[in-house]
Amino acid sequence: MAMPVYIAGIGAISAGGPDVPCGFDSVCQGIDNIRPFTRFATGLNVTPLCAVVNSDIESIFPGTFRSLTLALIAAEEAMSALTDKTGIRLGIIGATTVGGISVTERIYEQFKKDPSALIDSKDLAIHEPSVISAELCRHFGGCGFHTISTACSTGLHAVGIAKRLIENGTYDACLAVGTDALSLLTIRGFASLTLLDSNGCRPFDKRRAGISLGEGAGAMLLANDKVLRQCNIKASAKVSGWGASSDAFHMTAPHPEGDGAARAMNYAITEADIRPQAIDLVVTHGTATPDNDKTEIRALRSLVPQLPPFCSMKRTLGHTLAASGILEAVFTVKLLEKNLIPPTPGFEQIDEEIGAAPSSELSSRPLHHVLKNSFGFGGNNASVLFSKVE
Amino acid sequence: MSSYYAIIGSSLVCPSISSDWNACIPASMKRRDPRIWHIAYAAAHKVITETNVNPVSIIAATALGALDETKNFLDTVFDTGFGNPRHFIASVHNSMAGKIALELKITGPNITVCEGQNSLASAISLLDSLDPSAFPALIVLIDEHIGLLDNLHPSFSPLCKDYLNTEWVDGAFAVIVDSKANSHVSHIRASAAVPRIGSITSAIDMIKNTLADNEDALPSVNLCKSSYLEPGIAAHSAINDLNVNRSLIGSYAPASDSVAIIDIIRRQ
Amino acid sequence: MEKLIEELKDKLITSLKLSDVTPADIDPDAPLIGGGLGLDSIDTLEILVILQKDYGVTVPDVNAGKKVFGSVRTLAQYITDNKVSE
Repeated sequence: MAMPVYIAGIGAISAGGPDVPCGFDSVCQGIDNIRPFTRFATGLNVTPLCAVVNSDIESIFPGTFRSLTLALIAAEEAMSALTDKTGIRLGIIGATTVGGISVTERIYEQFKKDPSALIDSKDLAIHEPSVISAELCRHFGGCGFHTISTACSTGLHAVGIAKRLIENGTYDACLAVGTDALSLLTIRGFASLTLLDSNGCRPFDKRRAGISLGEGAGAMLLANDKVLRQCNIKASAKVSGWGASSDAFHMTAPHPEGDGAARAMNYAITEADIRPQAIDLVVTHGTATPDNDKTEIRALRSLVPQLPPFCSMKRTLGHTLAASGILEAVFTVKLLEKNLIPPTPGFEQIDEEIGAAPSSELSSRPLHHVLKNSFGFGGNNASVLFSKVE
Repeated sequence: MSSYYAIIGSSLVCPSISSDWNACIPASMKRRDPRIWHIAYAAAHKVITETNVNPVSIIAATALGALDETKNFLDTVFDTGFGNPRHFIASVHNSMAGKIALELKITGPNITVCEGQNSLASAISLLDSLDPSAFPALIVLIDEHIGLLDNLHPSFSPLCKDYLNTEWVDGAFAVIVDSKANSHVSHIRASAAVPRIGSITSAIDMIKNTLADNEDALPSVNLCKSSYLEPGIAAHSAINDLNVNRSLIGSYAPASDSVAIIDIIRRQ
Repeated sequence: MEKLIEELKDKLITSLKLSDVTPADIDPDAPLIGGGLGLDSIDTLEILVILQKDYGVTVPDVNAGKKVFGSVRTLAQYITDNKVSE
């Protein structure tokens, strides 16, 4: 049996608020944070509804671009638990879809208007997603970093990878950070796929018609026993299983039977060495696209026919793309700690094709194992099981 | 440094060097799919066909991702006011890995690493995060050069000119590895990306020292600091040159100001 | 209507890069999706862009879309029915 990997620290900045307590409160109250997006002109006829980070963050880390600022804020919150770094090998796993694309968009638009204008090399460098992880590594004194990008499943894969690299002794502690800021590329991109619901996302609802984008960052500091003892951390949860798979079915649509998703979930459960029926709650990917919600529950049913309680945080946080898996995982860990099942805002009417309703109100029950799913473009599936430290 | 992984075989696809590189592309892909998907597919197809081994998982590596498709999507937004969905789908960094998985039916873990010039090293070191059941694993390094990059060069501020005054070669390098050290003679491992401390070469030396080998036995480091494909070209060369017993390939990424090292060893 | 059908055929061939297809090859009543042209769901989305960009016509939701994409003729009919007159 591999050594346990604990969650030593968590951090988050989202539409729910600038830290974990605010965001968690927003999730538990089922707050609807979806609003018409006004930060910049999108060029769309219908103003998209998005969940934005409202806090004034520009001045906190001067000279950084938005995705990096969000990442640093969440990371600082998670890293506050690491009070004594002596002899601790720290790794960084950065997860982002667009990274600094907001800068790329701007300089490309300028370039099209005036190809002779000078472009700052620093601006162009920001196009590489790894600048985020590199900055995190320098900021926190890490000894190595990796940057991954698998669209919506990235953040959760980062948690799984961090787990493995601690288990095999590469690092004692590993900080996984997922971040994505809203950009013209993603807003116009999802609009071109007709995947933005003009009513705001309605997870698992019969009338659901697409997603609502969001922005934010989630950070999780995973660590081994030695780190916990050295920093006197009492961890309430551990990462007990990680599953990763590919549908190999279609570049955007999920496999209709949820085949790949089921394999990923099954892998996480098997690694955790629990029966599927022992899952107390599933925090779904639940993006509210007609396909995702249907196939996700189909996949879940194939493993647990009686279906455990399940919820979606997408109406509260928006779909934060690469950040979503880890941002929602942060709140999943809080739910596990507090024995709470949150409501699923945006859901009203049951879809007979799904044949099940998500949680509709905040409730309390003993939670021992909670499963978090994240599914990305190209049929890329991630599933992580979090277990309470008993 | 990561563990060593047995090299089953490798391939290199450089369109500027071999004109028939796309002979293996199926007709259905030719019509709609972007060039970068073709290149990635060709490299994966070549190494799978030549080794007759079906990988279970994919770790893709790319510095800039599907640059042309990103540009094409933004062009449709800025020029026509209507974003083209096909360009958007192709523009995400992991689209190449997704396409390979789809066409070649690879259903295990699928990760894409974006680490600038250190992408290949970072991807190899992430083999440590895969379970034994995820092997054999396919690693593909893909980066494309588009005309726009040539147009941008004169606009760069002087700070960047060193790493841009190079021949941009685009293409893909693919390698299939196994976790079991077995009859395969060549093995590969790599470091994560590490922030540079001191000059590039001293930073590479610092990583080289973690190899904990007899210092005298180590070859000098082949330092790549220009095109993104260079580490892949060097790796393919080292793997296939029977006269090379040990090769250390260092890389430097100016954008993230970081270094990494790849170690290829031929066991007798 | 026939003129619109021919115009649509040309646009489909150009925008969807159907390089080995001529307008004569396209049966206006044959299914667009899953038919002989080899179009997929992403092509559907590209057709939506053509409708918006060139004819100012939008499809309100996924379900209406299914009717619109029956054939080139249903596409032409939808444009005729919904196009805002100059």
